[in-house]
Amino acid sequence: MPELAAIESFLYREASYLDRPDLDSWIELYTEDAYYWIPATENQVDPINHVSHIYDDRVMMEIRRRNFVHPRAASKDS
Amino acid sequence: MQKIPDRNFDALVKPTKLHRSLYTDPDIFELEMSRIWGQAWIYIGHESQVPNAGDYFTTNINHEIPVVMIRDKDDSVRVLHNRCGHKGAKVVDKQSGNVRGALRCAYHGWSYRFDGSLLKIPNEHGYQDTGFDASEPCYSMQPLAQVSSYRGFVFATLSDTIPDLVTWMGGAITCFDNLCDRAPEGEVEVAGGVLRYEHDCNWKFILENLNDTMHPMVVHESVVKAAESYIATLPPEAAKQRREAEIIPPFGASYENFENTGITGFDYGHHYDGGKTSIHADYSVDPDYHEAMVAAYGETRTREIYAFNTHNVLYYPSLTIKCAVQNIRVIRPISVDRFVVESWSFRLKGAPDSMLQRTVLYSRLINSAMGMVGPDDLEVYRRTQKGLHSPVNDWVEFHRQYGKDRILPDRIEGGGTSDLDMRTQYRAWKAYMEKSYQRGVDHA
Repeated sequence: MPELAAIESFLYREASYLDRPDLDSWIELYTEDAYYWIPATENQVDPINHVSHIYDDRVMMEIRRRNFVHPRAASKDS
Repeated sequence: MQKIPDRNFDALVKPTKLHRSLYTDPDIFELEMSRIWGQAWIYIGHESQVPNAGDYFTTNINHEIPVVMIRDKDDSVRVLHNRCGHKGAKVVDKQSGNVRGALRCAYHGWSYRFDGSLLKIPNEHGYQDTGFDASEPCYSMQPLAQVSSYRGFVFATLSDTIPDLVTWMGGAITCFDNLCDRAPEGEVEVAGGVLRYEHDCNWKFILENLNDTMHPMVVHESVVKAAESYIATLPPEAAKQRREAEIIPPFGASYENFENTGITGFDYGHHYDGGKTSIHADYSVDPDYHEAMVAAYGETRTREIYAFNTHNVLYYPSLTIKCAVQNIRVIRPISVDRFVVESWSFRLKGAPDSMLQRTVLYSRLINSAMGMVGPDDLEVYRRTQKGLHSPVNDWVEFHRQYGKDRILPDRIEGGGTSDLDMRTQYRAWKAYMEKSYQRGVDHA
């Protein structure tokens, strides 16, 4: 199943960018219209009227990337 | 380990400093659970979570005592000890749901009416002539010592001597009014799900942080700069449409801005910052929402409702609300170095969907443990919990603007960057721990 292998390889690559961290390379994995979504509940279909842990479009992903490399973002150290 | 005093906490709580054992000593934690959480009114849930007879919601009233909020057949909302009158099993185990007919224990099938009274014991004749009296309260699911609600917000207390809920809330009650009055229909309802996180630090840190206005420009500097610098690169029209641009940057407001918001404190440890203004005051007003508000209240009253703008309101020790954002956080201790917080959102009845959508956006941007603001708060709590194990200095200080608080008959007012919030909550902490609230409220 070459498709499954490609998906796996993508996920490993994404995880390694996050672990390094190399958010400049990480964000390039996403298209301009991508959303980074971590729903708050199983089977959640609505990110707008229901809360999520994260629901970032490109603008919020860019802000998150800049926050993460800021020297005074304490939470990135833990 | 030191000996904990029974009635006098002067050695641990001074006017401008606290002993570090308040955050690290498991014996003090246990006393807090019985004397603060065992006496204060504790927020249980909202009536809209149990709309129909048999609907229930379970929680703990402190770190371990299980309770269940349930809608009775007469439409009243009960809060019962979630303990079978027989062997003591927790009767309702799920967090929420609906029971038909009666509450039934999974162990021996004892069943209870929604008011907690014992309905039926299987094979009951075995109790005949044994001295067992089924009408004794200990064989029921007993109601909490006092249960009361205000505008749909349900509180309960383990104490039968604490004053009634409205008296206990004092002047801080206006914040509940403001939250509900922001609905064109004057009522709110739970909506949009819940975020629930456990954190590795003492429960008091989150309460101390709510109206600590000396931290945002430091702790949240990075995200404010990141948001402002990136939003500045967007075309002006695109930037204007970003609601994040209203929500994130005010966390970087100046010391002067925060000083001007003021802090107001009340008996029993309640306090809020803001009132005339707050970091939520410059949010845009949806024209459809404004139209619904004016239709309901008229222009003058609508402006009055908007004008009362608080940031965080604390109903010590279990609940903090944001009137202008329609969001609440519910706190429960777990152990001396662990607590849980839940963020719930509310729909303003009669308002367009955009209002709930902003509430939900706010919650995931700010309250989420993966959000843009909350994680940096959590990190500094974690570091404080660790640092306080150092024996080099036994004290945590809060001197800011000490001696400058304005003491009024029903409240205390001071500067927004003062430690008035600390003085307010630790006066209550000490009074609860010394059991002096049983003898009536002591004003500052």
